[in-house]
Amino acid sequence: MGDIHLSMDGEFMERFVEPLRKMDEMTASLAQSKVLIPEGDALMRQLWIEHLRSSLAADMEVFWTLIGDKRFGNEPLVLSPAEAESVLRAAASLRMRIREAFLADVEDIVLEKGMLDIQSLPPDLQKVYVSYIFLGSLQELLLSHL
Amino acid sequence: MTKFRTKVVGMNEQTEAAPEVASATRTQTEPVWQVLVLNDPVNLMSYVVKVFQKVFSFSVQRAERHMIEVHRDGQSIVWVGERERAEMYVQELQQWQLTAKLERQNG
Repeated sequence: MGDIHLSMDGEFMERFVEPLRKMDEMTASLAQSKVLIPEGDALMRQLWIEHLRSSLAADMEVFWTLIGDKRFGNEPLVLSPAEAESVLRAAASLRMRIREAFLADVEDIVLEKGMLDIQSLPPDLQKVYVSYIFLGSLQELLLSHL
Repeated sequence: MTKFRTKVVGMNEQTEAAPEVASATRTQTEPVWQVLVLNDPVNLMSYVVKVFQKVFSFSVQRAERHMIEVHRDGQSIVWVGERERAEMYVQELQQWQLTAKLERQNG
């Protein structure tokens, strides 16, 4: 499979990069909070979590290297299929953490069906929700190329 | 799961979803483990289908059947077999941020 070329407006991207970076930092501790680990001894549990942590760290590094690239917006972003998969997983993690940290009061069915009335949210949460939607759109875009 | 703009195609042609069963020979004394994926309101349907294809090499149709089962019933058994391999699959699904767990069959 060939590389994926993504083009996005620079000003549009600028609105998301820094807020997403802050959200990533703020919610880092939530990344493995809901993982269902099979029964086993303490060492097994520790290794399980460490493996997931290192895997996510690698995905987030790819995500920030590509999405945070200052050239993105001015010229197409070129991703290999492996990089696209990392961005997909990183975006999924960010969406899960955003939901847990900021949108926990939103009912599952409302979030799932995209029925959340953005105007009903306080301004800060509106920005968070738009970032959540942006990540989903990015995932859809990448999935359409994979 | 979140539908977004994703369309689920070909559902009319599908039969009931069945988990993949490991083909390895097992004796009666060996416990059988199943890998379950639980529903979540965050991950996109198209994403979940892609993950099933990637992790289990499922066809699009089979991956969609399991995704629909997760969405409709709250969970789907996506693989059945020996523990070591089941653990590997659970961890891989968790790396993809799906809510997956290991369960002893009939236990």
